Amino acid sequence: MEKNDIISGMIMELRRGTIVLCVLSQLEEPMYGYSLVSALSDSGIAVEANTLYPLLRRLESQGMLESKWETDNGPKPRKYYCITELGKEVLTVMKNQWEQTVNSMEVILRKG
Amino acid sequence: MDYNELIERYVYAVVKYLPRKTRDDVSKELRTLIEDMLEARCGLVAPTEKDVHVILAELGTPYELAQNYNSQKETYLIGPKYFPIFKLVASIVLIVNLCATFLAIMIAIIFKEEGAQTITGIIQMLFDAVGSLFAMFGIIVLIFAGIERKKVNIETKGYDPYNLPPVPKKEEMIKKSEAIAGIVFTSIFFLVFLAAPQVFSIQIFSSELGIFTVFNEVIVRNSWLLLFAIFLTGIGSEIAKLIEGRYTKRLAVICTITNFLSFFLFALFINTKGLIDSNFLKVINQVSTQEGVNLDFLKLDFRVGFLLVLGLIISIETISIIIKAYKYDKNTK
Repeated sequence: MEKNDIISGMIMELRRGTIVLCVLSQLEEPMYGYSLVSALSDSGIAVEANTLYPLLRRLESQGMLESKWETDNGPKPRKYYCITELGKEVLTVMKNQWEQTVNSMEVILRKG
Repeated sequence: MDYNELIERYVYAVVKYLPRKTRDDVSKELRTLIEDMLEARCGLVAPTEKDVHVILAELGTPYELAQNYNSQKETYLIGPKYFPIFKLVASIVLIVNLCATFLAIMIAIIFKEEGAQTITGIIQMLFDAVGSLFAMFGIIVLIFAGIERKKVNIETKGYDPYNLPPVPKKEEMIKKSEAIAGIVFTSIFFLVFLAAPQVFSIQIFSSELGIFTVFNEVIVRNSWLLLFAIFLTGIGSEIAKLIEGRYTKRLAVICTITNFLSFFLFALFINTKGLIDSNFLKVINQVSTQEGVNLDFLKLDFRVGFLLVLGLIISIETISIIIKAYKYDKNTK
């Protein structure tokens, strides 16, 4: 396997879980897909719309997000997603887990 | 092309891979996404077809996008969990089927059966054989797809390292090759029997009467369901041996049940009305009177004798498995 393939594969695996965490953390207030893409990209997390839209649907089907079509603001109807109680509970746990991982990883990587 | 048309084509190409009930919703959402992306790209300037083209290329192929939508669901027939077993079963069954079909064709040629007398007829038979091979493969795939959907548990519940069976001594193990040979022979036997029951024939030397088949071909073929059931019970115990790999109490129970069932079904089969060919019976009568030998025992006792022999074989096999299971399985648990 090409070195670049290995690297891109590993980066993808590393990002996979973090994107869910990013999404859940941003949806305290309802947002629609593309606004979320922009918000994340402004924070330096580049997520493709073709990954994010399916992910929003998956989180909704798992009960961590809920959605609503809004037709009032502007001419375009948009689907807004917002975090549910279950999503919040999961997010809290995952945040702690993330912090622990980051701390441990920092120690490990500094040693290495 | 109108750029809306291009968008519609893209959206349609994506949602056709998605479950029907989500299609409308995903379509609506995708359209607004594309519009949002166009707005971000063009601002207040009216977008052109080229802009749409760029954005649709950015979104990736419709199939890729649909895959992302479907990624949470099982979009495979047989997953990695069951694939190794599927491969094993499929290869055994297909190899067996292949061997048996060729054997059956050879027998058909030897006995100059209808359809096997000309080269075209034989080629036709070979084509049919290939067709049946594909059908067989299809059936196995369907069965495993069902297993996959039902998520049949193949691992033992309540794992505890203490419950791991001891490494078997050589004599406790059932050789894989033995079980496979068992499956192969059972399959060949039944396939040949169904395809060409005339292999069971008796040649009467002492007269000019020639060769007479014991079983009535039509009746044998009509009882295919029963024969198939016997076949299943037969290979059932062999498959259990293959999976278990050693003599265990569980195996003993399974084999006792399948063997008993096998015997019962065989008894049903052998008592099928008209199974023994009427010509055969006639010949026996004729020979009996001609030669002054009493061959009547062949008529009724034939069945009884057959069942007795079979019963004996099955009992010996069952008892030997039970004994071995009790001898070797005491170590576990």
